[in-house]
Amino acid sequence: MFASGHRHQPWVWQVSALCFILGLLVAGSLQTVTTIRRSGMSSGRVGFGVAPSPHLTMTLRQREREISDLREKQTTLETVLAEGSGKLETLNTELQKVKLLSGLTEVHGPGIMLMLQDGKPRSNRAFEAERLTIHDYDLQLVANELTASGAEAISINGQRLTSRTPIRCVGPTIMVNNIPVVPPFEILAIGDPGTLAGGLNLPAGYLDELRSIDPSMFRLEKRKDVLVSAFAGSTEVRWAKPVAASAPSKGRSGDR
Amino acid sequence: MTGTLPVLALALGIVLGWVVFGRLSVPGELAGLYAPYLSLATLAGLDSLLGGIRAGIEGRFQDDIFISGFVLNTLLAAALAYLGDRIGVDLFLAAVVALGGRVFLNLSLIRRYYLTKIAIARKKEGV
Repeated sequence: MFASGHRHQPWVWQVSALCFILGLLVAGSLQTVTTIRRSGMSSGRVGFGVAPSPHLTMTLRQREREISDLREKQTTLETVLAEGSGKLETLNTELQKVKLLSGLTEVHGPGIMLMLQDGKPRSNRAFEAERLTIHDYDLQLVANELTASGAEAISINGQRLTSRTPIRCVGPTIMVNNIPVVPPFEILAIGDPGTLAGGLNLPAGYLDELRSIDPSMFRLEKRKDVLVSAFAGSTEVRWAKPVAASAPSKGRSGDR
Repeated sequence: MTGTLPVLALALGIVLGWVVFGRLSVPGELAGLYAPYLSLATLAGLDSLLGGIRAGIEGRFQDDIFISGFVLNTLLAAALAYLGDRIGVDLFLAAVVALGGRVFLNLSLIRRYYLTKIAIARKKEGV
């Protein structure tokens, strides 16, 4: 039944050729799994890795500093201009208040500092990595909680939160004001320190949940004086136009 | 020896594949997409290989069956995996079970052949 002496039979060559292909496939599979493991371990976030180039980051920082300087100068000039008459001074006081509220000026006052960072995995299971990672929605939650507790100014890693600040996840990084921020996240908020800390520490609230996952993921400090930097992004307004106080009422039917 | 050439080819394939795939540096998320297909192709290759060896030692090796078997099995397995992905059923398990079962069957037949050969040789020595 069995053929003997198959030394130079053609099938050996073909089997060898398939062996070669099989070797390629095996190596490919192994490499692929290694790649997946490596990428899965480094972070639980999905998306392609986009590391901000150091050069771009430096340019960005420079531009931000420039913008801050220019805005500060503007404030000084406005004040100088206003010094001439009482009316202008009142106007300027109002203007500076509006600028403070919109986050265009650096402010300080009592508040809290919340440091958030990724937890250390105790096992390499993916779902754990997911829980141990600080996500964009974590920052959104904290920002919302702080606002609800009466925070008057909030910044995340030096990025001031304004009414036009998005907090979102792009690839492995979180963008605040469209600027990438990386852990550890230092969240500064100005307001009544007790109320702010209390809001975060609500039973079954955000910090309660973190505490149950890994208490080393956060550090909360009440501070007598917190310095929150100014918003340094674009203030261009393209679509919204103010409705003049004396506008005819027929155009404002949405009021009633 | 008969066995040397396939083993050498396998080793060469693994080394070359390791280097080439290592150089590619595919992002992990992309790798996760094609990983099941690659492993299925590996299994189909293993199945065809053992089937080929079995047919070879049984003396009824036909190259057209061998090659078409490998190509078609791989394509069918990939198609099943893709369909399963689309409709949310792990259909590629069907391919894994079928191919895996045949791998074991063929391996057992190859084992039997060599064991019989050894037994016959021993008997001859004894006589």
